[in-house]
Amino acid sequence: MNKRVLTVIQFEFLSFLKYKLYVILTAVLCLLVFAAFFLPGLLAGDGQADVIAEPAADRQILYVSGGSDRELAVLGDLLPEFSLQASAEPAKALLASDSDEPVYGVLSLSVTGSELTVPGLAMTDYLPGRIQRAVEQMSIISSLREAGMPEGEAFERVVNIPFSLRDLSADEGKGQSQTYIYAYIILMLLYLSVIIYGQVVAGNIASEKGNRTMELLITSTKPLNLLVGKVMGSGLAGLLQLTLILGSALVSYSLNRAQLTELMPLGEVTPAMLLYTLLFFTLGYFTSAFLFSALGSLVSRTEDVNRTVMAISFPLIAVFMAAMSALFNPAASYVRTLSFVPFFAPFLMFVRTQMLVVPPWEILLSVVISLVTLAGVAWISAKIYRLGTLFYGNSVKPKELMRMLRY
Amino acid sequence: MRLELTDIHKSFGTKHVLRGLSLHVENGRATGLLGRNGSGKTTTARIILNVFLPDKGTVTLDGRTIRAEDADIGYLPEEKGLYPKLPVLDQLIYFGRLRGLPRRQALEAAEHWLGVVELSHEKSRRLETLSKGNQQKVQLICALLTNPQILILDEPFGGLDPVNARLLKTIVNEQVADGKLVLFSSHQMADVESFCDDIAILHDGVIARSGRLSDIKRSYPQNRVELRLVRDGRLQSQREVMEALKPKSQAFDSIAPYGQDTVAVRFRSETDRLPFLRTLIDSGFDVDLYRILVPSLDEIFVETTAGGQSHE
Repeated sequence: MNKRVLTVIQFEFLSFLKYKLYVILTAVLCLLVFAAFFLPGLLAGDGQADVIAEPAADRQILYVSGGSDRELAVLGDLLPEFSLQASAEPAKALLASDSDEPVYGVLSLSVTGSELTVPGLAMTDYLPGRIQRAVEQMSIISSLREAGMPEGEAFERVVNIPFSLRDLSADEGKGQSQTYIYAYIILMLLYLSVIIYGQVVAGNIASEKGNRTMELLITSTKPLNLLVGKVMGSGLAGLLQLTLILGSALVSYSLNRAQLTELMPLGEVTPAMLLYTLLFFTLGYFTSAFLFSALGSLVSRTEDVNRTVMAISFPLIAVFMAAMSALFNPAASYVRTLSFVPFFAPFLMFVRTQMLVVPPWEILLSVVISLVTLAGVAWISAKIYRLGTLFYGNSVKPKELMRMLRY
Repeated sequence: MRLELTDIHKSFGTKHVLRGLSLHVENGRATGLLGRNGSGKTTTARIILNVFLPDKGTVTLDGRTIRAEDADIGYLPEEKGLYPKLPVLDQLIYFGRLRGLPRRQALEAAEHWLGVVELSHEKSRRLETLSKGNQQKVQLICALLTNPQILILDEPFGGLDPVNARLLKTIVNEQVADGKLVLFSSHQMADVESFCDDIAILHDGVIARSGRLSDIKRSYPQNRVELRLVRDGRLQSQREVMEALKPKSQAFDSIAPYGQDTVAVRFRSETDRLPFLRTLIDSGFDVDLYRILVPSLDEIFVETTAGGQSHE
């Protein structure tokens, strides 16, 4: 690499390290990550002790009306997490009455249709589904018993129907349910890095323009050297921060693995996945960073940066929305198509490589498309940067921008 | 070394800044590029520096098209542009390296020049904490770091006290004596007059007048004289002289107060000077001071750039 580019990279990278806010922010984020990973373990430690001491105390009351004693007994076996109590009172009255023990709800059984009444349903509450399944199983057990099967046998048959799930992609280490969280975290980090570092680079360039350092810089070395150096220098600072944060996450995750596997099943992150993460992260980051830099050179005051970078922030949001939706359905045909479209490619192909088995030629094609896009963006950005830096006063209109590209 | 700009045109939108500018600058001589505000001095400098491409015309160095990345040009921009928050030495090293010096050499050059301008003790301070004059010195060092063969200085003495201005002039003069090619852009006529061998006046997008300053001055007719007169042993006031000369008005073109107790007399022709002097003596005046007036650069500039369109 060109020596002068290295000089710019070193200068930009070191100025990040000398920047107090950067150091403090990195330290705080690492500490937060540690806290987030250690906290569930610490809390769970206390919780487990409670469960062992008083197992019954956590059981919520489920009032049941309309069923026979026999049915109630079967239901009680099917729903061991509840303490079932027969009651004929109206559901509203039962739920309104003050009780020391926690009440989950009232289940009224009927051959024409059972009804579960709860005081308030949380979005993630899976218990109504459990109760519905138990009521269905109970009615099958009743039918089998009426047909002459002993109740014990009927119960065993119904409850122990063998059923297993096999995910073929999981056999190749790419179980979507497992890699989803990893891919989600990386995508979020990429999005934040692109937006934050893009803004920082754009702001730095605008301030260099504001205090007229720019003129001295572009007469000292080629604009492309400066732009590449600036983008890479801040990119390195971003990568360092990311590595420290991810490193903290990895260390604290492995220290608390026992408590966290259920909460956050990260699954197995293979070296190939890490390689693709690095590759597409770099491609996506640099493509956006060049655009941010070019936009930064179009304004002369740091105050105007936010307004101007919207021209890239909004399209970026679209790209990330596409990538996020791909997390839910990575095999969709639109995801495959978008993984070859310039600007979308690094993000969408990243999701595909993390969650699916993608043919190597498709990955290669996507990388080539991304590289060509990156080179084109860098070239155009350097042109805008070179001329944008000399435009003072009002912000540049798109028409003037087109004219600048012709110089 | 000869830097030559030929028929340079440059427009920004509808604003036609340079309209066929031609100019040559030689090494070993300081050339002053003069012009009113907005006349295109900085644009010309930027074209030489390859920051702007001209719409038409060529820039050559010794007959070959100049490429800014090959030709090392020391540039001191009018709008000072170092990093305000960075220590002096750090940024000098950075700019030296950006222009291709190895780190060690950049450090040595920076230390050397800081010593020359008596700023060694300030090298670790942030630039913004230095006085305006000292910041200007650092800016000049930045232009000199790589020992460039070409120096383009845009208003280099702005904001300097006379002592510092003299120091900087000495440094730039040494560069000129060293055979460097120095182009100096300014609208401070006194600086240019005391400093430049050659001048080029930029007006209406072209060089309206250029050449050796002494030649230009000599090219003006020597038809003005400054006079101080004594009669009967008493120094005559400006009013008394003007009253006394009124009857002899056919001998000259105009008369006006000039300096301390002196008047300036303009003749229609240089040959009218001596007959007029004889008339004075015949009329009983003693001539205490008689000096042929050469136009100052200021007057030449005003005369050259009066009228025409304003570019601001």
